[in-house]
Amino acid sequence: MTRHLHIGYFDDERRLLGAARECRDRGIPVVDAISPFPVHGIDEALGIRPSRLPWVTLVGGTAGAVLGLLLQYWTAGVNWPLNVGGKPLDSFPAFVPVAFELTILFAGLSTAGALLLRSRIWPGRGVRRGFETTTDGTHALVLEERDASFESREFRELFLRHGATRSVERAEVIA
Amino acid sequence: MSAHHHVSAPERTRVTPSGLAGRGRLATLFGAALCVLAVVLGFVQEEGMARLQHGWLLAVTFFVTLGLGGLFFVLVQYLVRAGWSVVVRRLAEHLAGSLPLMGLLLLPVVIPTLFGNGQLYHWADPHELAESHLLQEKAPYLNGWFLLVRVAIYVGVWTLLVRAFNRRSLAQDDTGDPSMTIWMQKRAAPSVLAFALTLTFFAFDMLMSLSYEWFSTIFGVYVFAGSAVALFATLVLLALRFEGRGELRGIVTTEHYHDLGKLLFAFVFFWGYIAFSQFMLIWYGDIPEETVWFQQRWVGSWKYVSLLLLFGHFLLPFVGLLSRHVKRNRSLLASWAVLLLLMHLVDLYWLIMPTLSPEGASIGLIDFACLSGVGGLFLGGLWRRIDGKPLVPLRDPRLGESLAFQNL
Repeated sequence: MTRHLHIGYFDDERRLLGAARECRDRGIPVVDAISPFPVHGIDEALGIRPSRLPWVTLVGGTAGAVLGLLLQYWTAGVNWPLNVGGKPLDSFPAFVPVAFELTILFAGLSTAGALLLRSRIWPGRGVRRGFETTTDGTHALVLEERDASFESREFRELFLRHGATRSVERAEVIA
Repeated sequence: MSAHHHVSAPERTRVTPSGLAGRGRLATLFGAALCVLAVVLGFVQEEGMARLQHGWLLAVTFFVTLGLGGLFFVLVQYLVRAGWSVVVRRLAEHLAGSLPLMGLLLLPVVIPTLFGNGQLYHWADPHELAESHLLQEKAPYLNGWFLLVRVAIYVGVWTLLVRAFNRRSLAQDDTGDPSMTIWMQKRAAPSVLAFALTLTFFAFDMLMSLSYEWFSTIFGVYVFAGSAVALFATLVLLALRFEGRGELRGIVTTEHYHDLGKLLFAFVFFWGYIAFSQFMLIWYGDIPEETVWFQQRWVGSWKYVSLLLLFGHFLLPFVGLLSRHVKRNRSLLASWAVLLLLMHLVDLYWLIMPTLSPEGASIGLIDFACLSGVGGLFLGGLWRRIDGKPLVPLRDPRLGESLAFQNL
């Protein structure tokens, strides 16, 4: 499957924001906005919904805490009962530090993992063609042409109306 | 809204509260009257003097820790050259401004130790000293005169720091001189060191020495963590108060509350982390001279106060403040702030009162009189300091950054 992309390059993030807002208001599908630095207000201008990533963190962290406690109860109390200083085998306070660390580990790893999976970045996936100059001073707004309702000319006009320095078309093959 | 949406500096008259001085005087009068009432009750009631000293210490440390929280906030903003916080920094400066007076109010519990009154600090009792070999060994440090000298040093350092930073910040409102900011940035690092040492030893001397046989090296950090929680809770409530009155409307935004909420959340967890670290090492070591302190806080109804702290000061607010939606919601954030401020009081109560009533938690009329008395003096001073001065550092070089601040 290929998708047809229209990319506008801007040398000022205010122009990028203006173009993004018009796309949002007119319902033109935006693939992404690519900037050399974080642009305030871009989430809102692109109409991006709040991230669901925190839920992954919450579930991962909770799983880490539960597994950490179970692991210690089982190893120290059941599988290999160990008398430490005469304390009960199921001494909860002793298990807190490890459970705490595993909470953080699981929360962190699941967040990073979910982010990579959702962004379709993993080893062996190959190099994707980037957007030139967006790492050294220009901003790119990437739009997708999904049907014939909006012509190439109209994309170019939208970009130029908002002060784009360049407008490029690109066909991209998606695996 | 974007960062480049032009944010102009606020007008001086609009951000300068007026009409608070009268209310401040009223609060001071009210506070002074209640302090007198507390003292009268102390003389009249049976065992009243012991309760008066405990209640007074509780009230004063509550407001001293609020002031210390404010000083910590101001110092750290200059230390890390923070931009986002400029619009709330003046509130913290005013809170820190209470330290000279609140420090002076420590004298009523320090001076009795000079005369061998051990009702509050048992180590000051000559009979205790004669009988306890341990105390004789500690006496070169734990004695009334040296305590007086140390407290004078702590309060002196705090007063110097508050003067140095607050005066320059206020002067900058008129001159706009950026060299003030640079001066404070340079002094912030050694000032934080002085702050940490004085707070730690203040906690050792005024709170930990209530049980002179007991010791915990992390105790200062524990008191600091509680102070920071109380500070961020107070900053949220004060900012809301002045947003409601209008001085900070449109200046302190959801973005700033979000950040204050993050810090409140972080310090709630830090407090729990430190509290547990202190507990776990003592529990693991299982040495009677250390465990006795927790034992005392597990007797009778003290057990419920301990559990209240575990849930109310740590677990519930941790879950409650986890979500960003809560931190960005003014009324939810304010509710957690009120709860945590109350919990800071319970925390200090839990540190101080077991020496007064070891058999179980008890509250007396004197406690309320002390708290509202010292509270009245604190609020009176705060309103009078706030009155007539811009509530926003008008010409701070980073004000623009703070006004336009957004969380990404």
